[in-house]
Amino acid sequence: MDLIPLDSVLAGAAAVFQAKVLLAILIGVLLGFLFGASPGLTATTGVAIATPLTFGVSFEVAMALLLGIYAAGYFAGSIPAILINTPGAPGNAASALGGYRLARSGQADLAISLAVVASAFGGLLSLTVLMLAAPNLASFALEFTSVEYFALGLFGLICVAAVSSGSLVKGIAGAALGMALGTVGIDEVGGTTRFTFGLPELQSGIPLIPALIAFFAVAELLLQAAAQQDAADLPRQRLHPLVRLPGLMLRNGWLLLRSALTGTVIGILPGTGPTIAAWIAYGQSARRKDAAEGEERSATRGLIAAESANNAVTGGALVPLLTLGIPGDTVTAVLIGALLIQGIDPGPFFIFEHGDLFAQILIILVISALLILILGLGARRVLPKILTIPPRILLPIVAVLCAAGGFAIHHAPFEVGLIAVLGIGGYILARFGFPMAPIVIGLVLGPIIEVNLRNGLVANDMDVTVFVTRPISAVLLAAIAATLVWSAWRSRRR
Amino acid sequence: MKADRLAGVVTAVAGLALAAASAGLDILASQPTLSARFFPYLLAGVLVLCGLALVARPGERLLNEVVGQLLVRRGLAFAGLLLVYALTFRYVDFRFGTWAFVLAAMWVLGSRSRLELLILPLAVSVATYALFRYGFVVLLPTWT
Repeated sequence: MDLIPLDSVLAGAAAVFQAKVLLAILIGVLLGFLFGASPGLTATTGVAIATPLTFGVSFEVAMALLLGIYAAGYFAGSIPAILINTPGAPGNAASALGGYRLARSGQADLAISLAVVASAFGGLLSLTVLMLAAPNLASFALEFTSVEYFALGLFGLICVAAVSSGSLVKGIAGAALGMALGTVGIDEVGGTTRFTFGLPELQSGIPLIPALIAFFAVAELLLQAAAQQDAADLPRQRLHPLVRLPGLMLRNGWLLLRSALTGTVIGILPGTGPTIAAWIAYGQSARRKDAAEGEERSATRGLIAAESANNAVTGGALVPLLTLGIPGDTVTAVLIGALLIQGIDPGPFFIFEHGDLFAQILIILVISALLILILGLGARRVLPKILTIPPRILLPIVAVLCAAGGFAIHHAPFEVGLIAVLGIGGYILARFGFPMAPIVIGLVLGPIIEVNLRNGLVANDMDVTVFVTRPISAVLLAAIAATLVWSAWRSRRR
Repeated sequence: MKADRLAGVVTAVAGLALAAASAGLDILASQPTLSARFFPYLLAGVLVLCGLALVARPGERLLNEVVGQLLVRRGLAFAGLLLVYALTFRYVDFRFGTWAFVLAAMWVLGSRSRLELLILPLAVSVATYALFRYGFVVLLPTWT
């Protein structure tokens, strides 16, 4: 089994254990709490807005900030889910079922504590898998040619389209739209300029980070602005001593482990994410419920399952990103932009060439998980106060950060305008029920799919059968067909 | 009318427009692989098929309901303000533009407290400028 060399781990640890990096992790975790706990704003939004800010900082500081937001944001969405039955992010919707029931019975304090511990456990377990699986998967991925990359990219895209909210047709249309946006600019293979409409700023394509800010942050801001929500009324909490937590978690140990593994495996599948992981884990916990089980116990089990699976996606989703260059979820799609800013191209060579950076990522995520545990439990009575920030104040501030952040990447005012235009377009699409994730993943994966399709054909004398005669590609294409059939069947049943 | 029927028509038209635009792309005479038009054509086909599928099997939501949501006054006003702020970003001093945008946006979103409107836009403008200028060393547009 390939493992990271010890000297890489030591070099990574030396880089991370500096005051500025630890401070960046702390700031990232606090920002993650803020973005995750604000209904409508998500970890993806936070990472998208913060990514341009990492332009002038070192790799370790950039990753500390972004991964802190990533890990904490996935957890913090459970706070409004538990307290006011409004998930901070789609991935926390399953947590609302059990968590809100506990909150209504005056046990919001217990529910938040359970969510904190389950999230930290899920995050740490998935990191163990990342540490063990990623180097081996990277070795395996070195055997991949354009044919396999084409099939893998297409598989990731179809997975997103299939599991996104709304209909399969809208998911596929969104993915096609995202890929169409990805064709703008100079064609990498032939050098032809496509769809720039005479705008020199589009020669190098639709810039990824402004597009991510537009579809994830601005579209969401506009939805929130139209929603006319006021600050939340918080339920009164009953004090729950922390000493009772370990016993409770031990009694649900198998559930915790199984849900965390479910989340990790789902995170590894390209293009999935915390929403499906949390629902599957929640469903598994509900199936085990027997007739004698009380409402409180089933709510507790559901919350533990959903939160551990939700946060376990973080480590899992980094596996395909760091080994194949394919994002595992929406946040890792944004992280590609952050890695490119640092001059790093994620893919099979990343771990071999930058073992110390891989170790840094692992250590930062471990520290983030521990900080979530400490800060989450320590501040579990203060965290709900985030919900009292009124949207009339929060939304303009986030909009300003989107604009300034978008400008900061290339000092290009054009990109600020692009953010607003694409964001409004995304808002209209969202209103018509088109999910945002396939559009963004399409934008990221579209060029990968196209280039590898064309290169794969060149390398094989334009023989299209190569996509079904090479075993890995054939398996992936069969999986795509199975996913489409399953999704169509699921849509019909609905 | 069902909302998905309109969404389907627009999606199909977008597909046709993409196909038409792809037809005008320059391609090399002797390229050893698929031309630069192939992938856009493929995507155009997918969009047209998806559009037709939405027209044929629309969801339950009515068009009036979706249009009603799109025309919510404060959502529209916030979107308009954001668009103006973004499109004038290069021409207006960041500190002034941000102050004006935050002030107007807070008003549109329902803020009526004079103290809030007096302090917060100014604070956001100054703090964001300072953060980017001195924290991230990013020169935001200014008049001076």
